[in-house]
Amino acid sequence: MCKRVVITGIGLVSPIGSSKDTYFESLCKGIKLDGPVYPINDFKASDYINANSARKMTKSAQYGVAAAKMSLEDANLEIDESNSRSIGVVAASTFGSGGGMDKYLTNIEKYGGSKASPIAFVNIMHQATTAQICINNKIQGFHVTLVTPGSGLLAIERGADMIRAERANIVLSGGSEEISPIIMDLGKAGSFFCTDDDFEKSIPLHNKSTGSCYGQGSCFVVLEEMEHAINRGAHIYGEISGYGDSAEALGTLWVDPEGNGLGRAFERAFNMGNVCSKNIDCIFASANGYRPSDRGEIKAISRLDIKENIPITAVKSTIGECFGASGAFQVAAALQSMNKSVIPPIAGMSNAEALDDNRFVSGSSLKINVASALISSIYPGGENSALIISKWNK
Amino acid sequence: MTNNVVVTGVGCISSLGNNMEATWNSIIQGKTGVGRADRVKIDPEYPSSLACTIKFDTGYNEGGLVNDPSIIELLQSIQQMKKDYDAPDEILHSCGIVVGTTAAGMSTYERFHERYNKNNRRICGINDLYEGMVGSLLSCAMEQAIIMYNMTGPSSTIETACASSAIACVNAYDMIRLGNADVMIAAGVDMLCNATYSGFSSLRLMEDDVYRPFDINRKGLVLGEAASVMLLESEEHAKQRGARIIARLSGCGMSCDAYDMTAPDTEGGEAALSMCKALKEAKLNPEEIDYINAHGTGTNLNDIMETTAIKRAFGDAHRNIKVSSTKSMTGHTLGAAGLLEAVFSVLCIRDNILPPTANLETPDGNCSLNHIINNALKRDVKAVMTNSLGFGGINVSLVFTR
Repeated sequence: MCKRVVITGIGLVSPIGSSKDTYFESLCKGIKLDGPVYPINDFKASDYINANSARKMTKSAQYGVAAAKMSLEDANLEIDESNSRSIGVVAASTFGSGGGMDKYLTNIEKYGGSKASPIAFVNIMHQATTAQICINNKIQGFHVTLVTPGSGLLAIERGADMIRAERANIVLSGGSEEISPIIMDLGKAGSFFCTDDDFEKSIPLHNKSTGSCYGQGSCFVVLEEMEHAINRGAHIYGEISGYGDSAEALGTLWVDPEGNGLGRAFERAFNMGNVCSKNIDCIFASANGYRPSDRGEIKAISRLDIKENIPITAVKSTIGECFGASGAFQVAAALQSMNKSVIPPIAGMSNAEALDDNRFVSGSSLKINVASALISSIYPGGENSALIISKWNK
Repeated sequence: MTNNVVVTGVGCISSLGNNMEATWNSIIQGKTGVGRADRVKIDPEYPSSLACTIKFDTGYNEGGLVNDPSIIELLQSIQQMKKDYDAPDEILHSCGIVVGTTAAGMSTYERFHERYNKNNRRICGINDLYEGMVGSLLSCAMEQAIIMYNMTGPSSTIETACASSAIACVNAYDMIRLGNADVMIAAGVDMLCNATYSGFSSLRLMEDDVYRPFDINRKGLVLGEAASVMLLESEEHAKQRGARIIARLSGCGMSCDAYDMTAPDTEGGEAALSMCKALKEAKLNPEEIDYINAHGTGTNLNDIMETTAIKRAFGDAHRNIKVSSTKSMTGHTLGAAGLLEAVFSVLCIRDNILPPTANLETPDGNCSLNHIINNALKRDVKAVMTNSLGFGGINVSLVFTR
């Protein structure tokens, strides 16, 4: 009998607030942010990390360490000698510190490799955020860093695997990402992202969307083995009821407009057998305004045997595309929808302009009871994931 | 969660040979692949200019827009494994892949980055776009493997420093044990790039003479290049399709020092714990392990810490367990190392032979283990452990059995 995995904590640093409550309230207001890049304004690293450590860290690591700390506080979890070895971290970071790498390479191009900074080298590795989370919280179980574009949701799936495989009682899963000019330039050149001139039409699942906006930040959730959570009296936000993922032979820049790979991921998630597709109450889509992947996602959803007129929403016109952090941001929104019985709208969406004449949650938030939610992830490169979360019943 | 996991294919490419058998023959003979690091720009002020570089056969991915060496090497090693172990197309089509790497695509990204700076930080044309996009993603090698073999199973790429591909192996193993997949490829790949070479130089961890882990005169590590792959599947699935079973992956252990971004915790308590966890999962007593393929990087701190950790984990049994560092011959292949050494561990069981540590003339008194010195050892091999101890304090141990 496999262990059951529940979620007992949420922590995040986002462009719309650095607490789970402000994040969800802002999502529910449905306000699309102004500009193609979504900055983080209300974050002070010194609130979470001592100044000496923070100085060496990249932004991505600072966001990650702060979000992880908030998730532990939210889970009311103290780490000490008695439990540090049964806790692990599985995190995602698609670009590591793109800005840090840019500076590092520019420096060795100009002055030669012997002038490289050892501190910079160690801290621009993709795994730096995850390692810093362990060092700062004395987490001694393990740390794993996933680096594919769609690794945000995958980090939560692999975190759940670690608990089901009895490698840990508790796993902090999520991701962290920082914006860097060079990655933005590449995204614009590839038409994945909107520009300064057309960002107003950067809307997920919109039929004339101009591409995605850039987001950044970090989100972590605390995954916990169910009996462990019950025994310590933790608040349980929800249960992980199913997940699946699937590769697709496409290449780095391409998505399947039919969403066949995502369809396989859905199938695997429902095949875990805990929730029937007809019992899903809403879908938190991966959609970010890049029309080929949005279209593939909706095609895959349309082939599911689900309730008619199921509410479909997406968070990325409010927070931007946060790559490695996106999956956890979607999960954080879905958990709060389940707990507060309200689904946030797609900011900026009007159903008259919805992709392929579909209908989505638009305008204002939707009050509805959510017992189970499907969260999906589809990215160029052909990595697809699906996660089902449900209200917890013993 | 009872699926047993077996190894039904292995492959690798390294500085010692462009296929697994050539590499393994060199390892058994104690040959080293150390030469000049000619794939990177050598700054005259670097403390060392040594590396174990793959002698390159560029024929493979011709016609692709990006010919990054890490992509080519990973594809070649999978192709070799497919051929050597008769892995049919339909098996690869249905299987998933987990790749460990620290710098896949980086040499392509560095080429793009230099042009980007020269062009006043502008993207100029499709070549810039493609090399920049592909090179910026460590998952680029995995993505090309998925395309080449039309894989449809779960996929991910992991960067957890020198333990990256060892963790890839743990992930693939767990997915099969949990029933998420029947067959998975675990892989590791890393090729040299300027960022890595300059970084290790700046950390003053490089050997400038003879690469000799555990030796009193060791001064550090020599970086290397490799790609390594392992086909893992549930025992039931392997038997059903009549696959040749080479070994069993019996247990994995992980732990984290949570101590420092580069230095290990010299007391070795957490590294010992990861070895103990792997033994426990494999249901083996310490004395049942015949051989440990050590992380053995040749840095002062690592070799002493690993020795301490082995003694803590194995107690008195450590005296009878043979130990060697194959890095002395392949170089430290970073993200590829964990799985490369896992492949060697499986080959020890296949061939009943244990490889030596090359160039080990005077073992350091602080590294007093039962070393295999310079010459391979023929003996019956039933159970092998391999360790990977990475930056950020991550420790991974894998146990393979007959």
